[in-house]
Amino acid sequence: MITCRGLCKNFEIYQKEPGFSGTLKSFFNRKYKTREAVKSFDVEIPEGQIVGLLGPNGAGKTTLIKMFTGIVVPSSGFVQIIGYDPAKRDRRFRKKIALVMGQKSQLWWDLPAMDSFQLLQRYYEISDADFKERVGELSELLDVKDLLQVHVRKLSLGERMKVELMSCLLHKPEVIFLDEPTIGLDLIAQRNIRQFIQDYHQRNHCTIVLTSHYMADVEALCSRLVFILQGKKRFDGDIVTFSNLLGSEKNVVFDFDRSVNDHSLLTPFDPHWNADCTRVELRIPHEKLKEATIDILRNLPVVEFNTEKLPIERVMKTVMENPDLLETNRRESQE
Amino acid sequence: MLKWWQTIKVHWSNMLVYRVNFLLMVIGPVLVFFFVKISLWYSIFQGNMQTMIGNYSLSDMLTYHLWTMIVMLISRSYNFGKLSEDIRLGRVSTYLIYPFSLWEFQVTNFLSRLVIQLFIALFCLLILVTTFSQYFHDIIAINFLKGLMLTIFVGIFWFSLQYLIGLLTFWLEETWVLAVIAETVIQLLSGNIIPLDLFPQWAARILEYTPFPYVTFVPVKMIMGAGGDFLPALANLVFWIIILNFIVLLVWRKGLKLYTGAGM
Repeated sequence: MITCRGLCKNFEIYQKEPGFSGTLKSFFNRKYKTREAVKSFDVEIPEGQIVGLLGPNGAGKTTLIKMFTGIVVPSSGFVQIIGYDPAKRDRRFRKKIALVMGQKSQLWWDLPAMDSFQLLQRYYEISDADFKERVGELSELLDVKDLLQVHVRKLSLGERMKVELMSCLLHKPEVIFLDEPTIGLDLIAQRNIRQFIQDYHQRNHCTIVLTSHYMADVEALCSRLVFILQGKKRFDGDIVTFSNLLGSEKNVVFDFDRSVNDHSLLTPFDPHWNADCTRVELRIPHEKLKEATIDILRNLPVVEFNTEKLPIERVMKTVMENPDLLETNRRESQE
Repeated sequence: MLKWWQTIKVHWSNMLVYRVNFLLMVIGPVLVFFFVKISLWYSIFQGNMQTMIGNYSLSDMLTYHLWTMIVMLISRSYNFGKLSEDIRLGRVSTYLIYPFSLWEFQVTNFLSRLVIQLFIALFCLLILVTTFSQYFHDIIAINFLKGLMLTIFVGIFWFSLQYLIGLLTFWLEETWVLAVIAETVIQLLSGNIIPLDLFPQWAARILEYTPFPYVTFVPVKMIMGAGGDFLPALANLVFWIIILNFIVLLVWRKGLKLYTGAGM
């Protein structure tokens, strides 16, 4: 369904020193630097899978999506999506994919969403009967029936995202690229969008590639994670393997009845304190859990504590701060 | 064809949202330019109706410029600024994904505007004919239709040129300076300010090998009944439109490789 091998994308970036003298210098002697946004990237995504592309800002996730959709031409390498080379922008290919950009509207800002939908109906050559059925089905699923006649600029961000999603699904795409679809939304709106994507995938069995900075999106939707750092793939596997990257550690939260000043007992467990030092979050290896908890209960004014699996956010944060962990993990798993 | 028609309808709906802006954009610059030119020629003729410059009396000059105004109202294109901004801000990405290309989208935008501009121009013409009938008494319908046909092709020429300038944003980021230079040079060399038959003969002869005379002078003269043969003029315009669109295709293919889809 999606295959890429040795995919690279370089951008030429113009560099300018600050201030007016820098402007003058760059006028006569312009300096360019080549930035490797994606480096020798390989991936194979089978039909019907939901894959999460993760990584910090500037890691190359969006550049990858742009290459997958044909917006950007790769500098080198091979990419094929449902049998097409995206850079050739074949119309048959364009009819089979969809891209939802959380940060950019594709609808006509000054017109009601329905006007944009009718335009898309013509672009994708959807019959009147199919169009009517799709609009009815999607608007019910997304609960936007009353919003279709409202000007897009008058919709809230959450409402707009729903109609954006709807506009991209009218032609029943085989591959859907979702670039941060929940960015800027409140928690309820995020949950609704997530739920919708999940339901939609179950009904239509399409392939979805998702980028998001919200781990909740990834946990709820993706069976597989691809972690990118500085343009390179650093992890490719299921979410459980990713969660266990830091070992079988537990996340333990302690609440104290007063501020705790002596942190020495907790230092080995990567403590994260709240502002007034009355709550701490620790990462405790499974084998030390019992012993360490008894120690803390004895020596500190604990009023409440709870244990849970290490949240994926925490794994992600640790991996981003220390990418070598991925390399170590890869070597260990090979051995 | 349905997708073209639907896009044109959406363009019209969108124009209606900003109807005052649109009207001002279409009429404003043309009207201001017209009054500047009239003041200039009035001063040159010192207001004397008997003075002749070349073959032109002040009355002939006013008629000539009234028609250049109508030609401009119909044919002027305004798309380069929007296209340039869309490329710079990465908004054309949408049309790289939809099965409807950016070129098709821009052409439908041009067609939707051309129809509206035609109506505006004809409405203005109606007012002018009823108010200043002395300047329009010897207009023959067939000449008017020939001139109108040429003017529509002039519109296609302007659209193609502005589309090309807009596409240069792939390299230049800001293209408005280029657009202003192109517009000024073309207005001057097309006879929009000084009729080309007042140019020195050698200059007029050189201009014959360029598209410029066909952009203003020839259609205006055609309407006024002194424009020469219609078909060669049309063929010349079509030739330059084909050349421009060939360059557009090359620039698009090359430029797209530099496109970064910024802002996504």
